[in-house]
Amino acid sequence: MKIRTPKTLVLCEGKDDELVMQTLASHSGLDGHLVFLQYGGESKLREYLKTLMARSGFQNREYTKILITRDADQNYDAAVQSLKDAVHEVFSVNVVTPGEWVELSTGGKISTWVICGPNQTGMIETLCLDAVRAKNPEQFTCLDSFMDCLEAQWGHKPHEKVRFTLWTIIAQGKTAQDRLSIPYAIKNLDFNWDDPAYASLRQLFQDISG
Amino acid sequence: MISTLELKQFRGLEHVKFENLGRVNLIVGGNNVGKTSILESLVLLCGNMNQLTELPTTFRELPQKGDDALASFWKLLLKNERIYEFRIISDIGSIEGCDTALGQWAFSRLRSDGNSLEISLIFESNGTVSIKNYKAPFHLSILSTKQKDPAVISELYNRIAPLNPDNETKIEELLRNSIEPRLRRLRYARPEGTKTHLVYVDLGEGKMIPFTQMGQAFARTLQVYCEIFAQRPKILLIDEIENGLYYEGMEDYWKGLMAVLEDQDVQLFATTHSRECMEAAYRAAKDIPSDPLRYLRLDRRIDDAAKIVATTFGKAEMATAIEFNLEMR
Repeated sequence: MKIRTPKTLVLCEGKDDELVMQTLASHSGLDGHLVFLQYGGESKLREYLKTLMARSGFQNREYTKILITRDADQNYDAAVQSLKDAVHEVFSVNVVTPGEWVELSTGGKISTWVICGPNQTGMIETLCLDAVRAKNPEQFTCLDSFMDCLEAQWGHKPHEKVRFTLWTIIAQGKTAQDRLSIPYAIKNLDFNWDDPAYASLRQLFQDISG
Repeated sequence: MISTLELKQFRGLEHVKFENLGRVNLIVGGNNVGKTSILESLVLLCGNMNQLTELPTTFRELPQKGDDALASFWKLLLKNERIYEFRIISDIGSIEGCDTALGQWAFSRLRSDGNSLEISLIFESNGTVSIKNYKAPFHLSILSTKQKDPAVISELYNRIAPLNPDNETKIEELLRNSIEPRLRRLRYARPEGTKTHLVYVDLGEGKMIPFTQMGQAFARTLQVYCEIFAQRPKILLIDEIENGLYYEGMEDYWKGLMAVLEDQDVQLFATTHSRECMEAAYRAAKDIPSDPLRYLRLDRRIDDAAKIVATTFGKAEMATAIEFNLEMR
C-alpha cells in the first residue's frame, strides 16, 4: 500500500484524447500530478460522472480537482453547453465558462475545458495536426492537394477532415496493428510537444497541477 | 429489511450513514476502514444474547485470552474515549451504548415504533459480559471466516433436509450449480466406527465422503443454505463472502443465493475484498426486477485520515465501472 496524495483528475472523451493529453502533461514535467481517464464520449458522460461520484478517489478526496474535457468539433458553444448541462445534472453546480472552477458540496472543485481552447472549433487531432504541420510543412503540400482533390471529387468535405488527414499520416505504420494508431504516431512521428498549438492546453495543465 | 444504517462514534467510525440499502448489501473498502465494524454494529442492533456475548471473538482474534482482551473489545466500541456514547441508528430501531466509566456498559434500545426497551450490558471484572432484560428484535445468522463445528452444520442440515425432499433437492442443486457439478446427493449419517453424525457427499465415485473433505467453498456454501433454511433468519451476515470461491462459479453462486434470499425473505450483509466477487454479484443481479444489490463502501479520506466516508451505489454505477474497467473496491 502506498500513501495517496491529492491529485487533479482530467476526464477525456476517448482513448486518443487521453493518450495525447497524458503525453503532453508528461512532456511538460507534470507526471504524478494529473490523472487522466476516458469517459467514452458525450453520450456516456452523465453515467460516468455518477459512477465517478461513487468511486474511492472522489469520496476520499484524492481528486481535489476534476476537469472534464471534450472536443468543440464544429460548434464551440454547443460543446460548452453540453458540459455545463452534464455537470449541473450530476453535481448540481454551474460551470458557466470553461476554465472556471466551481466548489462541490462534497468537497473539491470541478471545471470544464473545450478543445482547442476558448472560442475555437476542432478536436485534439487539430492540435496534433497543427504541430506536425509546423514541424514538417513540406509533407503537407502533397497532403493538402490530396484533401482538396477529394473534396472536389466528393462535392463535400471529408467527415472529420482533421482526423482523416492525421490518420493519413499515421496510416504509414509498419505493421497492421500500428496503422491508424495514435500511440504509434506519438511514439514514432516525433511530435513537437513544445509547439504553440498545445500552448493553451499546456498552460491549463500547469495551472491545475499545483 | 433494514433500509438505513447510521453509525456515530462507533469503533473507528465518527459518523457514517448508508441509505437505500438492498436485500443484498456488499460491504467493500480498503484495510482497516471499518467493514467488520459494520457487521458488528448489526450484531449489536439485531443479535441475540449468545451472539452479543460472543461478539468480541466472532469476527476478530483476541490478542490473548483473559480479562483485558475482552474488556478492551467493549471499550474500543467507542471511537473517542472523551465521548462516552456511541449510536447505531436504523429504520428498524436504534442502539445507544454508553460507557458509565464504572466498568459497566449500559445499552439502551429504541425500537422504530418508539417503545424503548432497556438493555443492560455489563462486563464483569473477569471480562465476561452479562445481559439483562434482553430479547432480540430480529433473527440473525452470522458466518464469520472461522469454520463452524462440522457437527453443528450437519445437525442444521438434519433439521431441514431428510424429511423435506424439496429442501434436500434445492440445497443439492445450489451446491451443484455453483461449487461441485459432480454432486449427486447429500446424506446425514454416522457410519460405523465414527462418533458424530455428519453430512456425507456422493460424487458418483462409489464412496460417500464427509463434507469436511470437500474444501472450504463447499463447506461454507452448505453452511449458508443450512443457516437460511434451518434458522430462517431475517438478516444474514457473512464475513469475506468470496472465501474459497473459484471465480468461474461466482456468478452462479450469487444467482442461487440471491434467489434463495428473495424466496426466504432474508437480507444479506457481506464483506468482500474481491473485485471478481463484486462483478459476479452485479452480473447475477442485473436482470432481477427487484434490484436487490447495493455496494456499501468505506473510504479513509486522504486529507484527514481519521475520517471515514460512506458511499452506497448500485448496478448503474457498477455497469459503468465494468465498462470502463474502473476500480470500485
